[in-house]
Amino acid sequence: MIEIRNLVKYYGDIKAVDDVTFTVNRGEILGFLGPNGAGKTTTMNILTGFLSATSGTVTINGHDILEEPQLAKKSIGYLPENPPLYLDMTVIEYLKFVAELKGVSADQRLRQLAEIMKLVRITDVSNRLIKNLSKGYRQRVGLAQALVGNPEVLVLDEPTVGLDPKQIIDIRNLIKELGKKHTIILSSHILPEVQAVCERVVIINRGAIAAEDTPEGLSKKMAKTSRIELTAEGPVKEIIQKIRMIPGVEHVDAIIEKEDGITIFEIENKTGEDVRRQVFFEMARSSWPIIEMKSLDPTLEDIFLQVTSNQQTGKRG
Amino acid sequence: MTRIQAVFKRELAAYFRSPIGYVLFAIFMTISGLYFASGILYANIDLVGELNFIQSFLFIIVPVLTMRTFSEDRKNGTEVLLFTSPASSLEIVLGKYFAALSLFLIMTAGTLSHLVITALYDGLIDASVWGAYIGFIFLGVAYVSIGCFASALTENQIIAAVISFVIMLVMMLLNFVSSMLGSVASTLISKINLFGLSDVQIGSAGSAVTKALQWLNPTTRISNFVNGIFELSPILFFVSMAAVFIYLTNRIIEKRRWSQR
Repeated sequence: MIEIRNLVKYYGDIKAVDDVTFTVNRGEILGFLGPNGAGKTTTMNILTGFLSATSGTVTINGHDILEEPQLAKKSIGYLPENPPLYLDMTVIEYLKFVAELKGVSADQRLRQLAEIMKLVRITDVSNRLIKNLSKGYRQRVGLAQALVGNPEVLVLDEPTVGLDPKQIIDIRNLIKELGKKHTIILSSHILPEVQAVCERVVIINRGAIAAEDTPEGLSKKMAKTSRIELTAEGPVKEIIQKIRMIPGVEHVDAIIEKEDGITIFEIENKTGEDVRRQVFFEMARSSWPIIEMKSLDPTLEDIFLQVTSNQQTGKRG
Repeated sequence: MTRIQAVFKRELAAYFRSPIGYVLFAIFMTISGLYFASGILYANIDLVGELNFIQSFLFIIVPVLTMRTFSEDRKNGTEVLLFTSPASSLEIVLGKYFAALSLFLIMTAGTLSHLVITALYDGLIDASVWGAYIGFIFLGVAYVSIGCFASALTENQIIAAVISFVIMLVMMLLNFVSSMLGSVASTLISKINLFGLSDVQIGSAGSAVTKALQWLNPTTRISNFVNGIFELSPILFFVSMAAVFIYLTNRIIEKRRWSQR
């Protein structure tokens, strides 16, 4: 559906995108993850035909974005980070304009717009000026704009940035819903978002792809150690000593010392060995009450940090 | 074609969603109305003179009219919508150009009311008036393209207005400075006379420079229209000038996409 090959983009001497290659299959929701300035927006601007690459190719639905821009662009709906809204228009005026611009035939226009407005739930504000709408509504109008013309591919650049938690959940559910009919590329620097919505993740850092897998696959791949968080009451040094004696435990650390002698420890153990039972018995033997104990699976966050930590950020997005 | 139309409709309507369309129309009508009213006062209505009078304000009115054309979209990020849509950049440029030109034509049409009043009182409306109108409109065809070009250069509307103001001002001043620049050229040639040219040859080189500069001056080209003489060549001149600037505008926009900065 979308094929990106050896994409390179220079801004002066700075390599914003460095040999990026990936494909997105039909019907897939792909997460495009990276810190701010990793090259996400640049990549998306190139694959929607807004910018041109220094080298490399982008093919949408079999059409090269530079060779057959009209056909390629017809199958893309793009929501940039800042929704491209004409603030002086009403929602319906704006969407009508977009429909004309995208060449939606006149007899289909109104019906299609009504469907889209219903889907993204902006029907009730259709006659209001966009400049008077809240950020959440504006984002939805931006999404509606991307949906006009019923493109097969949706490219969404940080669609939840600047929204409040409820709006974020709304937009995420909407994206999931849209994923049933469309192929979606979604960029984000928020990990739970990608975890919640996407079927596959491409991690980009400093312009280059750092990792690519399903969210679960990435977790497994990186699960060299598993960690336990233990909250217990007792003398810190002795607890650390005792737990260190347990076979399988590699490392123990007191992270936070709370009031009343309660401390939070982090225990790292070798892969595959669950030491929670031994920890319980050891603590019980010394009558140090366990307040809380939980296993910490490596999250995308850990993977992300691991992938990106030894590299610096600070390039254009 | 429908895409040019879509851009055209939106852009033209945008002039009237903000005060700018109304303000420009009001300024235009005030300037022309003042001239017309003073003509009535002295019982000497001169419609050709009126158009000439407005024409000397065009290098301020047109830059204000066109400054937002591309700058605004670039600043607001709405250009992303335009340039990722299936519309080609030329279609977008044409849509915007025709919208700005239409506002110019609407303003010009406003002065037709003066024509109607003149006709009602059996005033003189002869071929020179119609000639002056045709010349004025084609001047607008060229000037608006210059304004669009300037707007494509920058995301700052004020800078866009200043750039087109300067281009138009230089064109208007060509009349005055062309002979001066011609003599400067001949002096320069005589100072560094590499080919051993005679004084007559140097003099004709200087006058050639003057002529070339005058050839570029749009305002002298419409003088024959005012005399009631209809010529194709000035029309071609203005239309090609517009075509050149529209072409350049399109190139600038395309170039920005390819830019490595």
